[in-house]
Amino acid sequence: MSTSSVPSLTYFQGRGLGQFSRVLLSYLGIPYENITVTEISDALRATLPYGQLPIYRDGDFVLTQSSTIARYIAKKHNFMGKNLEEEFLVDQIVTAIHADIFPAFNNPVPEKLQKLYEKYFGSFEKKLQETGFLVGSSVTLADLYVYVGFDYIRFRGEAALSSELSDEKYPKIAELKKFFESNEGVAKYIKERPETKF
Amino acid sequence: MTKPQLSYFKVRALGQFPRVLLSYLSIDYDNNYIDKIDENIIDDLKYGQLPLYTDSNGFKLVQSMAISKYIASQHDFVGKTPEEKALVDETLAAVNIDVFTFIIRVFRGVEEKEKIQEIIIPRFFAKWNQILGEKKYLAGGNSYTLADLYVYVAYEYIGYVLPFAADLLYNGKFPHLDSLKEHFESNKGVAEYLKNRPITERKI
Repeated sequence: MSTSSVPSLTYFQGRGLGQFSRVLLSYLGIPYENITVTEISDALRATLPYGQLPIYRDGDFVLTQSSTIARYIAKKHNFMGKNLEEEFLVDQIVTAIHADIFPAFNNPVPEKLQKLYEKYFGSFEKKLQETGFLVGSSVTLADLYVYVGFDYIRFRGEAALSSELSDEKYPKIAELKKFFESNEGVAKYIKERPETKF
Repeated sequence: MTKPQLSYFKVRALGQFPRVLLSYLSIDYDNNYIDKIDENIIDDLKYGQLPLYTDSNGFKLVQSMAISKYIASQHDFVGKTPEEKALVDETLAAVNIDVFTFIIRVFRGVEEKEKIQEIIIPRFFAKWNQILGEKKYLAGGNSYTLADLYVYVAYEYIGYVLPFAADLLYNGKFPHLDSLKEHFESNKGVAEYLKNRPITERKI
């Protein structure tokens, strides 16, 4: 277990559900300990509220569920929009990615997946074309989530029907990717992260 | 000012969380039952899905978990500190993304029903029962929050959709979850909602 004074994020070495918070922490320039495990040992499982990773430790405070971890960090750093309405429009997008998109490409049915991508990423692309941001008038966790989700599906390859998500089809989301990857913290994280299968 | 509106199909499923919440908080709202998504409503649906919540100020929101948190935030029902709020969020994500999705997959025959006993009950319901025994409230603190309501709805829902799960969960096996159910169902607004909710054609 970490004894560090900086927060720690524990997840498998793969990207998976750990990617959202890792990219977020890197983007916000928050020093953290990136702990990777190859499996959940019995000793580790005993410390996990639902026996699952990722887990985030901030001092004595322990949190699981990747979307919860990301929202907690984002809220602390004013990255959830400017008012209550914006906060929940961000939440709406974060939930859509976690509850609808991620489960679908883990159990893919090609025709359904194609429609799903068009529905969600089409909606995100349209919003970015109209206003430049997914919520409000500045970058929020919603933009970061769409970038990470989009990028991750492409990383997973054809098993996740990645060819559906081309730069040509979604130019504004491709710009979002460029924006985040030009951030110093994110660029450093990407350069140093290991090659993994998932 | 108009009343808030919640639009969803004439089934429990994802609409149940905000419906029970609105009833528990005694918020006067229009409970719109939708037969099918048609051109009258499709433009309001960000991802072509229900439920849809329209607040009294005209603000529209989809995704049942986002809707519930938005309503609860307006009524001081999401915990008092950033940590409590995060623990509420953690519970909601577990209910919505892990438990609810799994229940539906078992209901549709995509997932083996044995996994309810092997994974869902020990990892989630037993854990919640334990937390309630230790702390009285799921997010700690000193009052009920949306986390408690979400777990109650999931606890009631699983036995309704998967009758075999009722035998594994109810009848005193998880006394603190039973007390939670009692708390919410003795609330005047919730009791009235439960009494008046329609028997649905699809058991979902």
